[in-house]
Amino acid sequence: MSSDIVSQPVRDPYGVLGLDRQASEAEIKRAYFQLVRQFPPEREPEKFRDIRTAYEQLRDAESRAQITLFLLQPPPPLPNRRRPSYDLSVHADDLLTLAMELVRTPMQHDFREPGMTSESSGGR
Amino acid sequence: MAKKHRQNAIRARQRAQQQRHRPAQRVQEAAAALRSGDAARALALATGALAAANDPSTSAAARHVVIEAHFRAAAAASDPSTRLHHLDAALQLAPAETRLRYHRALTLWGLGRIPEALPELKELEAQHGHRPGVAFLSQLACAATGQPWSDQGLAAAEVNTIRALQALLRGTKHSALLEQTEHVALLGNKPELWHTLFSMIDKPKAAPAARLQALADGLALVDGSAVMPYYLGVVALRKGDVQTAQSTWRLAAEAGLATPWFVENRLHLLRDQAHVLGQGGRWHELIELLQAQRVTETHDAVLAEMLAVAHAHLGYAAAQAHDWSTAAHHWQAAATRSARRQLFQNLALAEEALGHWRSAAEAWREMVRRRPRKSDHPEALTEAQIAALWRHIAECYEHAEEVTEALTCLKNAAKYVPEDLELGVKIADVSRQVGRDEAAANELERVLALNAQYVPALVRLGALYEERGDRDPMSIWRRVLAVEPQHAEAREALAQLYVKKVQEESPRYGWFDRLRRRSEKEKIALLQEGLRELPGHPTLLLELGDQYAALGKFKDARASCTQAWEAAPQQASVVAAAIHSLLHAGGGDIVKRLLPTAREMPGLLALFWVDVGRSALHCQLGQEWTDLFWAEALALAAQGRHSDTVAYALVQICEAANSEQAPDMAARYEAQLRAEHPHSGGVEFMEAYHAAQDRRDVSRALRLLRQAQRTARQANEHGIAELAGQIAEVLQSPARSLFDILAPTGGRRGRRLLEELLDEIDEEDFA
Repeated sequence: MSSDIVSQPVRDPYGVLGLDRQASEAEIKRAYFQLVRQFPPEREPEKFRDIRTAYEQLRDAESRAQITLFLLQPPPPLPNRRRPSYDLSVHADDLLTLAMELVRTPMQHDFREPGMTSESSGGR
Repeated sequence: MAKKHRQNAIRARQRAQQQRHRPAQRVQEAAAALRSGDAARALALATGALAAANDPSTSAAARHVVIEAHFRAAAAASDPSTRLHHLDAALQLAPAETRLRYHRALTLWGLGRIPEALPELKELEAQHGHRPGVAFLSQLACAATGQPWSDQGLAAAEVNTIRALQALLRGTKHSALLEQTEHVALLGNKPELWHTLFSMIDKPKAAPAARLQALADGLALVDGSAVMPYYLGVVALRKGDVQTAQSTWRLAAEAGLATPWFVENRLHLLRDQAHVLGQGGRWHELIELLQAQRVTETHDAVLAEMLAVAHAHLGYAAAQAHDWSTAAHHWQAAATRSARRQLFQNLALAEEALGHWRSAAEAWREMVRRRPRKSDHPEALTEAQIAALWRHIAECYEHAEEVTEALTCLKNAAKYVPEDLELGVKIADVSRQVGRDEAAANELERVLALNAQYVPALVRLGALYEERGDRDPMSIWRRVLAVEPQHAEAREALAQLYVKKVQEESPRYGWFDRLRRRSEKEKIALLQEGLRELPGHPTLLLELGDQYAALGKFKDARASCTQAWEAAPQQASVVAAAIHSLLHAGGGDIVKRLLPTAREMPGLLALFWVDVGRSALHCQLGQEWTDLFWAEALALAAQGRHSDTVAYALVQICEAANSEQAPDMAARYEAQLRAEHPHSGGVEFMEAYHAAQDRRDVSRALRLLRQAQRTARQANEHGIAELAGQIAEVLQSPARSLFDILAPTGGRRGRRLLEELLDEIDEEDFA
C-alpha cells in the first residue's frame, strides 16, 4: 500500500457548524438554522448538504456519541503540576561519600600499559 | 613475470588475512585499541582472542588485555552500576588484583552499599594498608556501620573526621558538632567545608552558596566529586536559583551520584523545566530536553506523560496541516508513553488517512482495549459504541484484505448488539467470503429466528441454498415474496427454479426415476403452475413459449412470447429472447409490430441488435431478418450515443457474419466498412482477421492489429482500438493453441468443436 495520503478522516461536524465539542443541543440547533439561512439549499446546495450532514450527526445524543468515536481528538492538557517537594536537607550518607572522595585514588591513576602483567599490580 | 607478482601479492594478502584471525594477532590489535583509548573494541577483540587462544602465553596476554579493558571501561562509566559490572567482570579473571578490589569497594560505597564495601576494605587494609586512604576508609566504614573502629595509624584529621561523622550519624545537633570540630583538624585540610555543611543541617533555609563554591574550588575536587556539585545545587535551589541547580546536578550525575534523594530531586527539577516549556507550547524543545536527559530510558510516569502530551500536540498540529505521516509518527511516540485511548483513536485515523489499513485496525483495537471498563466512568463507551468500533475495525481489515480478521471483529461486534439483524447478515456475507458456508447459513437462521421476515437474510439464505443445492431454495424465495411480493430478485430466482425443473431431463432423485422422462405436458403444467404463482413473469412465459413451439403449438407459443415481451419491454434479455422465439414460431409480423417499443429501451447499444441478428443467422431464420436487425444496429450507432460508432458496429457485424459462416454477408458489410469508413482502423482490423483466419499468419495479423489500434485511436474509434488490443493479447497468449485448433473451422463448426472439447474435459474431470 502506498504511503501517500489517500483519504481524510471523517469531516468534523463541529467544525462545519462552527461549534466546540461541548456545545449543547440548543447551541447545535441554533448554529444549524443560522447556517441554513446563510447558505440556503437553492443557492449553495453543496454547502447546505455539508451543513445538513453535520447537523444529522449531532442532532441526537446517540449519533453524536457514535460520530465522536471517529473524529480527531484534541490533544490532552499538560498534567497538573503541584509545587515539587525537593529534599534539600544534608544527608549523612553524602558526607560519608564526601570523606571517601577526599581520600580516594582516581581510577585513571591505576591504569596500566596493556603489556604489563597482573603480578606487577601489587599495592600502592 | 607479472603473473608471478600477482600470485605473490595474493598469497601475501591471504597470509595477512589468516594472521588477522590468529588469537595472538588479535591480542596485539586489542592492545593497540586500548592504547588509542578504544576500550570497547579492545574488550571485544581480547575477549575473542581469549576464547580462541590455544597457547598459555597468548591466553595470559589476552586475559591481561581483557582485565585492563574492563577496568578502563569502568573508569569511563558515569553510571556506578555499569562501573560495578565491569569491575566484577575483571575480578572474575583476576580475583586477587588489588586495584580492582579497591575500586569495587569505592564504587559500592558510592552506591550507598557501605556494609558490602566493608569486608573488601578490611582485607585491603590488612594486606595493603600503606595504600593512601585505605586504613581511613576501612575504619570509617566500621564507624558508619556501627562497628567498633580504631584510630591506630590514622592521621589526626582522619580520626577527627570519623568522630564528627559518627556523631552526625548518631543524630548530634549541628551546634554540638560545630563545638566538637571547631578547633580540630579535619579531612581535606578545610575544616570550614565541614562546618558549612554541618551548619546547613539544622537550618533548612541556609544557603551559603558563595562560601560553599569557594571552598569547593579550593578543594579542586569538583570535577572528581559527585557530592560537592550536588550540595552546590542544593544551596542554589534553597535560594531559588534553578539554573545553577540544573548545571551542578548535571555534573553530579556525570560523576556517578545515584542516591535516591538526588535522583528524586533531579526528576523534580526536570519536571519543572519540562512543564515550563509545555506551558509555553514549546513542544519540540520539551521533547529535545527529555531526550537529552534520557527520560525515554527511565520509567518516570510524570515525565513520560509530559512527553506523550508533547507528541500528542505535535501530532494534532501536523494533522491540522494534513501531514498525516508526521501526525502518525508523533501519535505513535505518544501512544508508547501514555495509556490514553484518544491517542490510539487519532493514530488510527491518521493510519486510515495514509491508507495503512492494517495499522489502522490495530490502533483501533488498542483504542477499544484501553476503554474504561466501569460503566459509571465519564469516558465509558456504550455497548452500541463498542459494536460500532468493532464493525469499523472489520472494515479496516476488509480494506487490508484480511477477511478472517474482519470476521472475528464482526463477531466481537455482535457480542454487544446480538439483535442487530444487519450485522448478522454482514457476518454471514463475510463467512461466505472465507468459505464458511455452514456458519453463514447458521448465522442467517439465527437472524431469521429474531425476525422471520427479515428480507436481506432470506435473500442470502435463498441464494446460499440454491448454490449448495442441498436444500430447497424455493420455500425461501416464497417467504421473501410473502413479505415483498414485488421483490425482483426473489421473483426471478423462483422463475428460474421453475425453468430449471422443466429443463431437467428427469427428476433428480432415485435410480429408478432416471428411466422416467418428464413429458411435454407435464412441463407445460409446471410452467403454468409457476405463472399462477408469478403471474406474467417473462422468464416463465418465454419458457412456456418454447415448450409450446416444441409441441408444434405455434399460436400458443407466439401468444406466450408476445406476452413476455409486453411484460418486460425495457429488459433487453427478455426482448432479445422474445424476438428470437417469435421468429422460430412464425411471429415475424409481431416482431415488426413491437420493434418500435424495442427501440425505446434506455441505454441500448448497437451490439444488442448485432447479437439479435447473429442469433437469427445462427438459426437460419432468414437473412432478411438479420439484415433488418443489423440495419437497426447501424441506425442506432449512427446516433452516436454511448460511444457507439457505425465503423465499430460494422466491425462487429463482419465478425458475426464470419463466425456464423455467412461469407457473402460478411463481404457485403466489409465492403461497406471499406467504402464508408476507410480511416477508422476497421479496415486494418478486418485485414488482420483474414490474415489470422484465412492465411493463419499470426505475425502479420498482430502487425495489422497494432496498425488498426493506432489508426482507430487517431480517429477516436475507441471501440475498435480496444477490440484490436484484446484480440492481439489473445493471439500472443499461451492459450492461443485452442484458437489455432478452432481457427480453420470458425463459426458453428468451431463452436461445436469447442463444446465437444469442453465436454471431454468435463468427463475427464468426473472420471
